[in-house]
Amino acid sequence: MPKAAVAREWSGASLVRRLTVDPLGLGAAIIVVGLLAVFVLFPVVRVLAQPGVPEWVRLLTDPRWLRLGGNTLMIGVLSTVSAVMLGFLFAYATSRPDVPLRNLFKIIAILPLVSPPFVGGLAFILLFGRRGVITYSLLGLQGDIYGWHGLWMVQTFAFFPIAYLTLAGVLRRINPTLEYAAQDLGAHGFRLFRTVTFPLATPGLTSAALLVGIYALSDFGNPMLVGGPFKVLATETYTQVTGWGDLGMASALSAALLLLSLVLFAVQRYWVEGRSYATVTGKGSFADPLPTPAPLRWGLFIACGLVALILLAVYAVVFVGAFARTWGVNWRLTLENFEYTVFRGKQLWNSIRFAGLAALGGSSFAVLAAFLIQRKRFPGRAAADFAAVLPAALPGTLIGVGYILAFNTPPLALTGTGTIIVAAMLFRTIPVGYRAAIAGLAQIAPSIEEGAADLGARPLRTLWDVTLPLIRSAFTSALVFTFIRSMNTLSAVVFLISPGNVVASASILSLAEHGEWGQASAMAASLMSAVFLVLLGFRLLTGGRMRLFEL
Amino acid sequence: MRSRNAAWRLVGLISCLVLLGVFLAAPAWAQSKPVMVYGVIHEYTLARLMQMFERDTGGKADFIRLSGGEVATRVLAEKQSPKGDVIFGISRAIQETLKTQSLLEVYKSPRRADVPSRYVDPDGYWTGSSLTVQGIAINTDRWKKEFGNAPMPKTWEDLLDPKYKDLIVAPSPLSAGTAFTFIVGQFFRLGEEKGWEYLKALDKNVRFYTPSGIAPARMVAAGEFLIAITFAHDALKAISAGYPVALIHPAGVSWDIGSASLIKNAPNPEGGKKFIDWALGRDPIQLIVDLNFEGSLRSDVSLPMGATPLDKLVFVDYKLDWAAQNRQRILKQWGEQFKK
Repeated sequence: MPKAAVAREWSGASLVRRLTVDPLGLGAAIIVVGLLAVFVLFPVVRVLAQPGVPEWVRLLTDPRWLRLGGNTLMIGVLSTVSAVMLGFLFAYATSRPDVPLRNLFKIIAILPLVSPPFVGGLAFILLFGRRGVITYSLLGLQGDIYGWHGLWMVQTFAFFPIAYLTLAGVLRRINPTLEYAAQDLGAHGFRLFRTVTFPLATPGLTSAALLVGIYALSDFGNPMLVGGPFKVLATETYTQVTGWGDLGMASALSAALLLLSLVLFAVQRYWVEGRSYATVTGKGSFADPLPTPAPLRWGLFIACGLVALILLAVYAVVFVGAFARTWGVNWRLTLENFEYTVFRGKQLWNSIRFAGLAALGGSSFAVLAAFLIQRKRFPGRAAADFAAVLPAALPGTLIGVGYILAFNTPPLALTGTGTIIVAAMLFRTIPVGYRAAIAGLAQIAPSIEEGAADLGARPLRTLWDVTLPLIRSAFTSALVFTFIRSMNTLSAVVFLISPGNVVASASILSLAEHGEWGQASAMAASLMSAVFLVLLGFRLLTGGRMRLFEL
Repeated sequence: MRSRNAAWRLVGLISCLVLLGVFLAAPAWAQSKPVMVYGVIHEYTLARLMQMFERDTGGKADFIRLSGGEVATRVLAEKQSPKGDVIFGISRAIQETLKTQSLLEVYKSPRRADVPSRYVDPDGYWTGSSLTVQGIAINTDRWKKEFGNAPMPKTWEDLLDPKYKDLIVAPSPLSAGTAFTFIVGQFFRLGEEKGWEYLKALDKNVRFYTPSGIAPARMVAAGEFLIAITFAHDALKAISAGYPVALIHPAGVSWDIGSASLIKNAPNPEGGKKFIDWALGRDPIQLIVDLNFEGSLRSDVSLPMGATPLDKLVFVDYKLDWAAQNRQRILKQWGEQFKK
């Protein structure tokens, strides 16, 4: 080889070399980094550039904000711990093939995600509030749901599906032969769980805790509805925007929220980094899981059953309300409430098509980004990883205002279109699919892919035949999650909807806010039914090969 | 062979996804340009209003429903390239704020002649559409159970009785225009200094302040709380739906009006003007009164069902200029004193 050529090869940009070796990977990396920069980082920068010095000073000196910060942190920790525990309970129970009704629990576990904003919370108040059907009429309690304890309960139920979805995939992939091996070595019962199953679920647990924690920190609807006198940063941000028109202070508060999320992120990083959780190594085979000991089996059944009953009651309230003449007063059955849903049918269709586009685009994007960031080296990789989980830390209000600020003027004049709504839905839910895919990939030893490559498979073939099947559950979770979440999302899109592009969740909020509970629950029930029908249709279309809800 | 199969499967899957994407994205094709309305009144009423507009004029109109604060933030954020044409039903205090931020366009609709001149902006930026009055809503079922035949509160001072501790729910002025109307109403009734004292005394009985102005009436209707500080139309709506609610107007009723305005540099100003002219007419206003229970500023429209005639109410002297000028200061002071 001539000397000059060698010199060119070594001195020339490694970019060129990589282009020839893996052009597809590099192109994809450029697209991923570019999209994350435009749709995640740019709006955030626009918002953070908004506050001036006085706002930052006020944020740091006013005891009111410090108190709110303390509240936010406290409820965030409480809800995260309880939601992850509940999520783990459901994931663990449904991963045991011999727990009764496990398939029913799988469906019920994702119900809270299908719950449209406000109506689910409203149902909780009607069940557990001062005059709640359960607390007051049944138990005769003068319970008061408003405050941190009510918020804790509502958030636990609202967010445990996120933990469940993340953990279910992880637990299912734990090779039962490891548990057999541990048993052969003398570990039984709780010791087996503590020393083998639980540690293997750690990447899933920390992923779940991170996601739930960030959702709880930036939750807006629930504190608004049941927080009562207990105020948090996210609701205060909303107040600053809507009540005072103070984008500067709102942005400063969001920055504080962002800081809390970043701390969580760093802790999770530190925890998982440097440990290997690869259990799908290609060596050995899957065996049937160990039978669950009877006390544990029935314990799991009873615990899941109780939670399932509460959730079923919540959704029963929504559906009964949809058919009742006047919620709470006149329970005579009627179809009148559905008149408005039909009259404004376009809103429901808008929700379905926007959420559908966001789900298709978002889950593909999430899995692609996770694959590239986990397995490839390219400039901006760490920043892309950060940008892909960042949206979960952003209050919806902030995303909404950020999108308006960023995309109201050329070159990307998107306000007033459906595109901006799809983009907000898509990038807001990216972290879920992304973290799930990362957790899935972390369990797959690269040696499998290397093996495929050694056997002559080209990169695309390896991706398609080896890697994708292994993270398919992450993809379908992301698809399902993004679709459901987008159908119900509110706080971000409420700033982005425009006449002609209204989505059903915004209408439901309006109707509920105005006390039209019958019409609100009729539309909510229609929205939930639409979610289930679309998912069912999708399952049929893919011949049952697509795994939905881990079913 | 396997490799080619894999490639074909990939191509097949991608084309399926692309087709599905095109199908979902398709309805975005442009239709004729409708009037874009940012409405603050009830969602259902707005939808009926748009339907009626299309029937009456043949024009097209579409809307989104937002709270007053949301409209203000949105119009400000969209300043560079406005997307809405008309703001409908919003409180005057917010109209005045938008006006000083030069986000509105002067439009002197011929309908201005139909309403008393005190309900239109002399500078021509906004025109009044409806009248909203303050009151107290009480859940009568709970009252009977907890207080039997005791008389219900008749004056604002009656609400200070310690027996109502934690039974009252009120909106927060930081996000609800309703609450601002209530607060300045107390200032106009008692003078500002005594007004703050009253609010502090009342605070002892208030369980907490809701972000939404409509929520208190709704919570009282459901029996969550006994007494709500509310606008009359929200309580009347609950009563007409069959809830056990009584509406009381103590002497010194504060009030506000909803109003219509044209957004500056609106994409469809001609359509916007046409919509304002039409919406302030008799039939649309009657529709708003019937569905939303707000009062009318027009003399040819009937009272909302169950409402007390205006001449039976004792109003405060609401000074709009003072309220608009002092709004930020009052909100700040309130935010520092009341933490619930």
